[in-house]
Amino acid sequence: MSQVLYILLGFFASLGVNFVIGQLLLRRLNIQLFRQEQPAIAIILGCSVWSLGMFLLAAAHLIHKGVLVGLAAAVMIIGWKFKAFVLPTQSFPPLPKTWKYVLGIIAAVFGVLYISNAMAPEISPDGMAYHLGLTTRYYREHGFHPITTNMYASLSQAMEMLFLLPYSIGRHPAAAMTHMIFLWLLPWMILCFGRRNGFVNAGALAAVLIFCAPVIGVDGISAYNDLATASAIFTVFYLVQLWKQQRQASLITAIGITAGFAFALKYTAFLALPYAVVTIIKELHRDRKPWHLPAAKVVAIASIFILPWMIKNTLFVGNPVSPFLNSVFPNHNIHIWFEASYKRNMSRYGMENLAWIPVETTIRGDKLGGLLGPMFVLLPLGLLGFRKRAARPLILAALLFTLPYPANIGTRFLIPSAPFWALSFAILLESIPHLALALALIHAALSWPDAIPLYSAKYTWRLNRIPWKSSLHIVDDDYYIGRNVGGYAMTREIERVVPIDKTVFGFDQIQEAYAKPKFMVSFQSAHGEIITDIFHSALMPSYLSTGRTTFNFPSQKLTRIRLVQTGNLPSEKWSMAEFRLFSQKSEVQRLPSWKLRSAPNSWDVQMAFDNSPVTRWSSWEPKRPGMFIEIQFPSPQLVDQVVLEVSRDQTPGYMALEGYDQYGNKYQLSNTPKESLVEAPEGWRLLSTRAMMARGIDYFLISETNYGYQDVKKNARYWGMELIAVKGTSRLYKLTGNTP
Amino acid sequence: MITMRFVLLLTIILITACSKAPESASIPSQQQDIRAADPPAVGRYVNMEDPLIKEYIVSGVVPAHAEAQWRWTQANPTFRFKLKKLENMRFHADFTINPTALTATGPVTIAWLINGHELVKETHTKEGFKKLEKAVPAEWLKSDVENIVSATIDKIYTSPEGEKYGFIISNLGFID
Repeated sequence: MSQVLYILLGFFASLGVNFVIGQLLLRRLNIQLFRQEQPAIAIILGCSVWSLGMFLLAAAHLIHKGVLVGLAAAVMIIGWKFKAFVLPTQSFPPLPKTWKYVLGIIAAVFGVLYISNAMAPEISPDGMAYHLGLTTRYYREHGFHPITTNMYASLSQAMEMLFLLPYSIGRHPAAAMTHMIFLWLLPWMILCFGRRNGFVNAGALAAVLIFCAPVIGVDGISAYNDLATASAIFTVFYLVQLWKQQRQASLITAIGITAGFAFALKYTAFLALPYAVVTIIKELHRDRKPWHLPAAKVVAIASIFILPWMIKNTLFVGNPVSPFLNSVFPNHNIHIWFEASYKRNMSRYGMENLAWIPVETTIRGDKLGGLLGPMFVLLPLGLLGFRKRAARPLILAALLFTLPYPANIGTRFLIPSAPFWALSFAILLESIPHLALALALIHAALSWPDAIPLYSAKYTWRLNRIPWKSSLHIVDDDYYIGRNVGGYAMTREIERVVPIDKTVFGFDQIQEAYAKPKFMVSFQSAHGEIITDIFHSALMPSYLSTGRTTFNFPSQKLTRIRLVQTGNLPSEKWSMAEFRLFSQKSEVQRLPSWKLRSAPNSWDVQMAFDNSPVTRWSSWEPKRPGMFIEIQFPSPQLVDQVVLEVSRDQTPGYMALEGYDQYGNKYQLSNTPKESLVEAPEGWRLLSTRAMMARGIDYFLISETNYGYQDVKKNARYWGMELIAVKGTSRLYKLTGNTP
Repeated sequence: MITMRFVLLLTIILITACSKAPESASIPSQQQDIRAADPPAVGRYVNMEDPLIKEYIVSGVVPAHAEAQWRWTQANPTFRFKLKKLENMRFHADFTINPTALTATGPVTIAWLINGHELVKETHTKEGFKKLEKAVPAEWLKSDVENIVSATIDKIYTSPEGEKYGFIISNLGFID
C-alpha cells in the first residue's frame, strides 16, 4: 500500500509544483482569467517553466532525488507564502443543470477507468520502450549524456522532463499520472473555451468527445506526450483568441511560452509558433498597429523553450532537429536512407489503401494504433460552419494542426487537431442542446471498454477494463506487466543477467524502462543499422561480399585515385566491403599515411579498407552520380588494377575510376569493370561477431521473427556466441568471439 | 533586446556548430585472417525453414519467405546434398498433396530420382500429408560431391493467378 501512497505523492507533487509556478507566473503577468480556466492555464504555463528547469538541471547533471524533491518543496512553500493557491473569484455563468449532471457522471465513471489504469504499472509500448526508458536513464545518470544509439533520445522531451519529479517519488505510474493531468485538462479547457465564448453546449459536447475517445483515454493514462502536446497547442489557440479580444500585452509572453513548450513536447507541434505569430501579425496589421515587436517577442520567448533541445541535439548528435532533416544536417548518427524509409513507413503503416484511414482511425483501430470512436466520423461536418464567425478560427486551427498528420498517420497523431475538429462540429449543434447531449451520451457509451469490441477490430490499442488490484498494487507488478506485455520476461532476464555497463543489441525494442543495461535497437540509429549490416553480411546471400569488381588499366604513377559513382539508382545504396589496389598482380600494401575520403558518409570510409569482408562502407543514400571514394598517397604510387569486394545486392557497373598524377593532372583510368564471383570463405559468422564486439556490443538478442534466428539457434558456436537465456521465442546470447 | 540578442547568438551557434564529416581518415587496423569453421553449407538433410535452404535448392521450388516451413514445388523440383557416408542410406521426404490442386488435376504421379536413378514412382489419389522413406543403393551415391535429388510430377496445378504448382515439400534428404 505504501507504493500507492508514493505514486499519489509523486503525482500530487508534480501537479502542485506546476500549478504553483503557473499561478505565480500568471500573477506576475497580470493576466486576468475566470476562476474555472485559470488553473488549467496555470498548469500549462507551470509545466512549460518546470520542464525547462528540469532540462537545465539535467544538462548540469543535477538530477538527484534530493534536488528534485527539495526544489518541489521550495516551490510549494513559495506558493503557500505568496498565496498561489488562491483562485480568482470571477466565474463563468453556471453550466446548465443537465450538462452539469451529465458531465459529472461521465467524469466520475471514466475517471475511475482512467485513474485506475494510470495507477497500474506502466504497460504502454512507447512509454516502456523510450518515454520512461529515457526518463529512468536520465534519472539514473543524473542528467543528459550523449545518446547516439537511440533516435528517440533526440526528439524534444519536455514531457520526459516533467516525468522526472514524479518518477523520483512514485516511479513509473506517478509519471504516467502526470501525463494523465492533460487528459483532464484538455477537455476542461475546451469546456472553458465554450463557456467563455458563449457556446456552452458546443464546449460541453466537444469536451466529452475528447475525454471519452478510446485512443485519447489510453494515450492519456500512459507515459506518452500526445495529450500534453494537444493541451499546449490548444492553450496557444486559447490565449491567442483571448489576446484578440483583450489585446493585453502580457498575453504575448504567455503565448510565446506555450508555443515554445508545444515544440519542446513534440516536434509535430512546431506549427503552434507560426500560428501564433501569423495571427498576431494579421490582427495588428489589420488594425494598422506595429506588429514587429509583439511578433518578435513571441518568437524570442518561444525560442527560450525550443532552442535548448536544438542545442542539445547539435552538441550530442550533430543535427538540431534529429532524427529529421539529415540531408540538411548530415551526421553520423542517423542515416539519410533510414530517414527516408522511416518517413515512408510512418506515412503508410503498411496500409494498402489510405482511403480507409477514416474508418481505421474512428472505428476499426487495429492498423493505425487506436480509434477515436464512431462519432468522430461526423467531425468533418464542422467544415460546414465556416460561415459562422465563431467557428472560423476553430476550423482554420483544425486544418492547420492536421497538416503534419500525413507524415505519421497513426491515430494518436490526430489528437492535437482533434479538439478543434470537435469544437467546429459541436458549434453546429449549439442551438440544438438536446441533440448535443444525446451525441455526448452515445459517444460516452460507445467509448466504454465493454462497448468498443462491438465495432472495433479485435486487436486495437485501448483500455480493456478497470484493473483494481493492479492499480492498488495488490498483485505483483511483474505479474501484471508480464501478462500484458509480450517479451517482458526477457526484459527482466536482461536486467537480471546483464551487467549494467554492458550493451545488448537486438532487432526489436524492449521495455527499457524496466531494464538498466544499455540497449541498442537495430533501426534506432546509424550504429544499430551498421551492426545489423555486419550481422547480415555473414548470413544473407545477397549481403555476402563474394562479388569482385575489377578495373584494369595501364600501369600509372598516381598520387590520388578516385572511384566515382555514375549511376542514378534510387532504390540502391552504394557499398563495398573492400577497395584494394594492385600493381603487377600484387596487392599494394596499405600504409598508415594514406588518406581516405568518401562523399557521402566519410565517417565510415575506413570500413572499405579494414580487410574485413563483413564490414562494408556504404553511402546510406541512394546511388547518384558524383558520389565518390578515394585514396590519396603521400608520394606517387604505381597502380594498374583496382579490385572492389562487393556484395551481390550491388547492381554491376555505373562506376568510373579516375587517377591524378603528382602534377594534378586527371586521368580516366577505366569505366568498364569486370564482374566475377568467388567462393565464400569459411568463418564469416565469427568475423561478424568479432566486428560487433569491436563496436561495443556485448550481448545479442534475437527472436523467432528476426532474420537469422534459426541460424544463430542452430550454429551459435560458429558465431562465437554463448546462449545465456531463453524466454518464449527470444534468445539472449553473450558474444564471446571464441573459435568453435 | 537582450533576449533577442541571446536568441540570435544561439541560432548562429546552432547553425554553425553542426557536426562536419571528417576531411579524411587514415588506414585502420587490418582484420587478420581467422581460422574458423562455418557449419557445413550443404548437408545430407534439410527442412524448408533451414536458414541455408537456398543452398540446397537447385531449381523448381517457388520462392517463399526466409523461414517458411514449407514451399510449393513446380513441375521438377531439384535439390542437392552432400554425403560423407554412402552405405545403408535411406531417402526420406515429407510432402503434402494440396486438396485444391488435387481437385483441379485429379490423381498425380510423382517420381523421385537420385542422381538420375529413379528411386520410386507413386500415384497419389488422396490429398494430405505424405511420407516417403526408401533405401538408396550405395552405388547411386557420391561422397564429397553433390548428390542431386529431383522429383517430377505429371500434372501441374495452375492457380487462378496463373501460378503453376506441383506439390508442397516440407523436408527431405538422406538418413541412416
